[in-house]
Amino acid sequence: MRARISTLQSLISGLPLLFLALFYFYPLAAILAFSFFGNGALDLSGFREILVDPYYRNVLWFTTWQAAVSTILTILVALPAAYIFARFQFRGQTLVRALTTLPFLMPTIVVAPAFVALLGPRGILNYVATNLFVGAPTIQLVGTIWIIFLAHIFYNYTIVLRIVSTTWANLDPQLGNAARLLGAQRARVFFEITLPLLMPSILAAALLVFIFDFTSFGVILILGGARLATLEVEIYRTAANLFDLPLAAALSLAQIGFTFILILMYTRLQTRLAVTMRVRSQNMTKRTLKTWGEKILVAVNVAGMLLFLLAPLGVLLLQSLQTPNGLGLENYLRLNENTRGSVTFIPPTDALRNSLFFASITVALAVTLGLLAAYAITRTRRGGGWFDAFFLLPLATSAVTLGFGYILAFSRAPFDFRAAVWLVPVAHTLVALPLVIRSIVPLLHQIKPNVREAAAMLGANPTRVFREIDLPIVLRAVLVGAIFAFVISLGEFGATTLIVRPEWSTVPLAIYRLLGQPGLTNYGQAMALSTLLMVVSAAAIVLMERVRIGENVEF
Amino acid sequence: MLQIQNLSKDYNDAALLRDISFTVAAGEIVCVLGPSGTGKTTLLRIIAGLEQADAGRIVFEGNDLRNVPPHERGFGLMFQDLALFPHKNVFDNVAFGLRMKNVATREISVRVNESLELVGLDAKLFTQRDVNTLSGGEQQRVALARTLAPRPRLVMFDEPLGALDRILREDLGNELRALLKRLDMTALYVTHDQDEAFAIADRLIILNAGRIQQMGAPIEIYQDPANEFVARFVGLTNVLELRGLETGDGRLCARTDVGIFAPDKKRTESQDEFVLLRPRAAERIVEHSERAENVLRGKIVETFWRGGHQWFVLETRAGNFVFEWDDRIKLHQEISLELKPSEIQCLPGGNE
Repeated sequence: MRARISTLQSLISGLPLLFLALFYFYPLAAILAFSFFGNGALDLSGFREILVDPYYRNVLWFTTWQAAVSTILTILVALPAAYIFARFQFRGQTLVRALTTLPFLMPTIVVAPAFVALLGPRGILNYVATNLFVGAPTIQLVGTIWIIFLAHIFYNYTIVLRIVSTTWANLDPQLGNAARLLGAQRARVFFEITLPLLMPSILAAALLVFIFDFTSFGVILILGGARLATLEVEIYRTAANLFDLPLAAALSLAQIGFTFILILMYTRLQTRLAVTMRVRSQNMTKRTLKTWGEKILVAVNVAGMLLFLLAPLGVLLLQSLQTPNGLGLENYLRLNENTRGSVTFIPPTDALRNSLFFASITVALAVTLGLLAAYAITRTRRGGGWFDAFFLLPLATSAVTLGFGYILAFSRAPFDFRAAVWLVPVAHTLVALPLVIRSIVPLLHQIKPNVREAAAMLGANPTRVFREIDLPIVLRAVLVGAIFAFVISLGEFGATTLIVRPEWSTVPLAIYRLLGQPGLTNYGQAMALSTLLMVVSAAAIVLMERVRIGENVEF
Repeated sequence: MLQIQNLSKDYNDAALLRDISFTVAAGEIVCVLGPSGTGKTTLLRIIAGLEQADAGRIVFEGNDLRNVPPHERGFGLMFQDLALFPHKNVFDNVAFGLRMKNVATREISVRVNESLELVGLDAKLFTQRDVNTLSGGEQQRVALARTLAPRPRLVMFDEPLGALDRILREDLGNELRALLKRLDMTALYVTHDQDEAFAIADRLIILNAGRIQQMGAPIEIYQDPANEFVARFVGLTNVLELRGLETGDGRLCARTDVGIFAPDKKRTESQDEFVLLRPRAAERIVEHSERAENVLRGKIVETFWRGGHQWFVLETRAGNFVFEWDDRIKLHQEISLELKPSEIQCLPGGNE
């Protein structure tokens, strides 16, 4: 009996591990091998080029400093909101919190056009500026570092908000009062008590934001113009445009090395965070707004936050309705037309169908594997944490690197999957899996043995216990995981663009292509497609917030 | 009503519960009191049917419960960490037991509201709340309402107030006793907190190292602790080691490091190892006593107030002792304290 259980156990944890081995570690190994032995013999020319050519040194330097500055700016911008969410209880708080998640789960390929719609040459702000004042478009942000900073803050705002405000809410306000009674001024209290206690969570959030900014792809590709390129963009260009595979492999390896170190630091910080945090009931640390000063503080902050986070998305919608003859649905109605008469052109409606097809396969794959992995993580006493960190690894690898790895690994024996359509949902699954697992695990943790026992004590027989306790919670977990996988698959751009065959193009690819082409119709269609993607993602996210139990989100 | 007969349970090859026998009468609140790690929770779980005993029987209303699964015993258990259903709101949590009994839907909502009001929660405000957003005290009350709603034949509590702070704990403790009496419920309550146990129980069972040390009403236990462990555990800490027994004036006298003590009651037996001086034993404070027995010499090092009385700490060669004394006291004086023989008794050692 015991032997049979352990076979089942190893099958459960074995399947996700096997998937990870074949579709994650094998491609990474392929990159590693190729960067050293590209042409059969040991060949370090790729590395030499990176080290010698000042161009690549500059790319690496740019990648690092833009990520660092973006991270610092994001923390500075999000900290006041973290305070407000931690210490005050106000109406609409859950809704506002849910809305801040929207940008984070928005596909990059939607965020970038949204910023173009707001700040681009044809954007709303320039439209207003040219009509009110005389002259050419005045705001020239596209192609500069500033719009990249803005997009990165927009993107990662919610990470800082969630991680830091959770810790902050659990800090005992009495600590601050105690310090004040000991003679510390308000500012001293913040710098000597609050900030040091928040520091681990700020650092954890910063690391995560830094990883995302460091591997930023879609945002830089579309908003950065020709001059600004991160390592990620450079890998893409070298592999897809220059076909210099050894160089791309060397660049990928550099990127993998960097992000691995970062994710390692993050997991270590996270375990420390879990140990040191003394959880208090949030009802005891939160209070309602009393003075006018507090009300104004919260109102101004929430309004600013919503304006910053929702304006680009709202403008996107507005731009999608803009036609030569005023506002209308023309951009949407013409989505299935081949306006360019091109042979290789895929009508946006076909792209939509492809995207939905890939997304549904991704959902099935990611939820099955995610459930198995999450089950293994929650049920294994020893090694559970190790297992957990293991499945977090794909988060440390950028999508483009992954896609590039697929090109190298699956175009030759023993795994010659060239032209295999199913590689796309497999790549999507791998990108989605860390987040899917992280959203399922906290839910499965809710099924504690004593909750089952409590049901039994209240008269539920074993079948009833399963139906009333296990099943509803697992179903929620499945739903949350499915939504995550769905949203991520719909918006995935970096890996798809490298491995998909043209006739199987997805919506993000179609948007990217439309944005790259001149003409008002193309621009309008790009906006319309982005809006569609945004609406579907937003609907999914709102649904997910309703399904979750409590407010726990694990990154 | 409930009879526990010779229950034993091993855990990791060590005895956790050893030969436990007691009964609980209908409508009685019995409290199992003991330090942590003495098998209290395991005892409850065995009675609930969540764990099996290695030996012994549990008989409820004449039926042996050996082969009755937990969900058919009709008992209620309030867990230490409450075990609220995280995916159900307050109403669905409280309604759960009623649904399992196939109570009609309309009656369920009536009884859920009733149960919530019973535990002091406004049903209108709470039924639709998410249990994860409640405060600790509110969650406790919801768990209590859920346990009581199906009117279990026996309700058990596993340190239900453990997570609360002191003031809330005393409030809820007092309320709980009144509530159980009002509903005429039979209850078994487990705790390590002696104040809580004394406040709530009709009868106490003191448990240590898997064995019952003493059973009785709170007043019996306080006035006549069965052994040194029980005495110390209920807060009677003036305990001296016995050095030998002597005969004086035809009575038994106990010899200790700080003098001879002669209790007036004939409770002194040969297996006694300790002498207990009750806090009310202080009779007279003098500079030098003429008495040959029942005198404690030492220095008053501290006074304080507790429970409406003044207490002082007497520093002696055998350690510090506390006594109740409602009169003026001069600190830092060498004195002789004359003790009432009625407040002195000899005790055997703990029952390991």
